[in-house]
Amino acid sequence: MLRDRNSIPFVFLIATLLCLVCSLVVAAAAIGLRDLQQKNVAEFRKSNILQVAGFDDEKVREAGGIDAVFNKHVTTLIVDMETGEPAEAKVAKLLKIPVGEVIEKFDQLKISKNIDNAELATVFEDKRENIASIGKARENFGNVYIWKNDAGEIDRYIFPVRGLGLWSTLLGFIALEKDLQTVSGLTFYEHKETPGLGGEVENPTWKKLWIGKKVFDEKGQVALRVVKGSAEGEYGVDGLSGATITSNGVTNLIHYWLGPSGFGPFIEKHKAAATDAK
Amino acid sequence: MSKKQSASQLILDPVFKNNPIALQILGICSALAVTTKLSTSITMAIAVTLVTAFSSAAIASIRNYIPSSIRMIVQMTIIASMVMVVDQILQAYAFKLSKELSVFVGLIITNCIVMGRAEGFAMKNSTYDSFLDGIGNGLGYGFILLVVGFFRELFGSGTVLGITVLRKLERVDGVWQGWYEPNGLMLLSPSAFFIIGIIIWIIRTRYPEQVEKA
Repeated sequence: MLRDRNSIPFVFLIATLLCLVCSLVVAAAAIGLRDLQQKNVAEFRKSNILQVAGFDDEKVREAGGIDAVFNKHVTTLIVDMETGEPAEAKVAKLLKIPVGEVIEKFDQLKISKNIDNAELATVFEDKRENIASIGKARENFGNVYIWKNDAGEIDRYIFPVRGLGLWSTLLGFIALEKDLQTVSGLTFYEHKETPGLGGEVENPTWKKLWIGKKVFDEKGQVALRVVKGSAEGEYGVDGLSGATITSNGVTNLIHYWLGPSGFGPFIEKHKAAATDAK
Repeated sequence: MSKKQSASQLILDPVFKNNPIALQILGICSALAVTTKLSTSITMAIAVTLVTAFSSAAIASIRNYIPSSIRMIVQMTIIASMVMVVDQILQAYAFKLSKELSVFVGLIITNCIVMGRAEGFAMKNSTYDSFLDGIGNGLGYGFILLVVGFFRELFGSGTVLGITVLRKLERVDGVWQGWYEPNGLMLLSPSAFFIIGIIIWIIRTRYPEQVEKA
């Protein structure tokens, strides 16, 4: 056999066997470790919610870990995107799960993929509506995380955002102050942008630029955007050099998710309530 | 490589006498990229050591069956599979580190050391020897990474493994505290060249036979 190991059938035999064995090994590792990885991703997502609310890793550790801080300060809501009303009961009914479990089991990303179920997701009829390029349909329900301070008062609103950058969909959170006008943080927990260019959306110095910026202009339109070069004024954030498409993607996703097809109705409603209270 | 090497030679020689980075100048790219912090350097060192050891052993064990015409492809496939397994393990057990290492875990595939040892050693030697050679070369790579990572983190951020050693000069509540002004250059890739250069200088002063003839 060794004599003719360069014969064509033997080359094919070795190549096939090798691919088979290697794919089995990789598949076994991927499946065997999937649960742990998913747990890590979920935890990382939570830690990003805390981060965008101003709790970095060190503070979280001091306060007793991610779950402790999350349970103490964060209230998770499920809202109807169109009306901005809470929709836990409705979603529980649609997904056929008990209301008590709906917060835990609700997955906004999964909901958006239900293109055949008009109750759960709305297919984009006009492509121009889909400014953040989030896929074929938009979900009818979304999560809003309400951050309460130590006294139990509402302090911040945290919205999940996502949109297409250059290579990938960026997944992240934006936090607004209780006036629902001032940004208090932005973070991306998943993306595949070029490290060093678009990947700089993770850069802490860049993320700090967002703090204190305003979202809506006098007409109530989303005015906040990433601009090329250095930004002036309260509606602009410096662009990432060498990453125009990623920067535009970030602008688009903010316009989409804080705009009328996104969390606009929710923001409108709570803003009115906040001004009334004054 | 005509005479038989002992196990300890196989492991220790690549660390000082025949270091893959310092003498063979292989694997420089990742040595620049992942050494801004000691913790990522350590993870990368372990990952490369494991990949080199197991892929060399796997390739050596089937070396008599690999058709020479698809030799490189076979090596690549085995190495790539190992790297994917390592990446999966990191994502499961060291999620934060795998985020920080980002693409560089995947890029172990293209690390010249792994391929170089597969082609240069594992194709001609026994499984056991190749495994040890893989460990040795991984350690040699890791040794440089640790030294570079240590100095870059110390002078670039004033910390070692995240623990403050040189207190950064900063304003806390309006009062200046600390004394060390971090050297920003250390966080950029060129600094790794300087440190690797100094290491090569030291090693070649100790082992003058490594100096290439001009």
